Amino acid sequence: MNRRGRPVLAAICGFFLGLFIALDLMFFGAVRLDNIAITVLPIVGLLAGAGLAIWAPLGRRQ
Amino acid sequence: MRWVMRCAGASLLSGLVVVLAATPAGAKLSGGCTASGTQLQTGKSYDAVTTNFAKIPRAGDVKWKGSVPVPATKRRAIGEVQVKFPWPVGDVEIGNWGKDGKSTGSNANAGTYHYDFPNVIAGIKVLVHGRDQEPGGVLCQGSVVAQIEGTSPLAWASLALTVVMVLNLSLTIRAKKVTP
Repeated sequence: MNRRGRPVLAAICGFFLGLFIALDLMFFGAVRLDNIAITVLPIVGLLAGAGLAIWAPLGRRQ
Repeated sequence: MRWVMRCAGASLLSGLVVVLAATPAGAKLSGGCTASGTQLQTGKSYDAVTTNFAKIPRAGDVKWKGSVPVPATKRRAIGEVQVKFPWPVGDVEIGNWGKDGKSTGSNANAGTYHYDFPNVIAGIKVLVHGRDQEPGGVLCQGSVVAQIEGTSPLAWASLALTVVMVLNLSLTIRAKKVTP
């Protein structure tokens, strides 16, 4: 029996987490408006979210 | 072993954020042109030849002057001012001159400009750059990173939503039973 998370939901959550981290960095002046991180972080979040859900490191001991 | 892999992954992600966040220093005004301004509320002066970062109040008045190193004869000079956005948006033009075919006869200008930016863009660092091309071959180019004092109310909303998304992500990556 395999155990894994919810990859599609996690990808969506990861995308928005990356987007809001990028907006935090932008609004608090940590990065400039033209920084590529603002574009890249949502995509990294999407891929990381899906990857973490497939790996599912949390809740394995039941 | 699992903890080592997790730490390595977290370090890699942190390094990526730091590398992506590092930006080159802004260039200054070149080509022999001059431009300067004094923010009247703070009394702070900025020379475009030496300044590459300016933190200004959200609203106020600026007394400015500028010149190009050419004689004051009738000619068609072309120039523009742009704001740089992240890829894929790129440069967005906020002003231009000479592109409509009109000629100019002056080589210097001065005035006082009143500005009033909305509160929502406070705190954001923006790269503003521009150029002026004279018919004789003189090309002036310059850029400055501008930041409006204060913090946008949207910054706190974004921070709250970041926390919500961390909680959501931690729930969606939890393992559940999958029957084959």
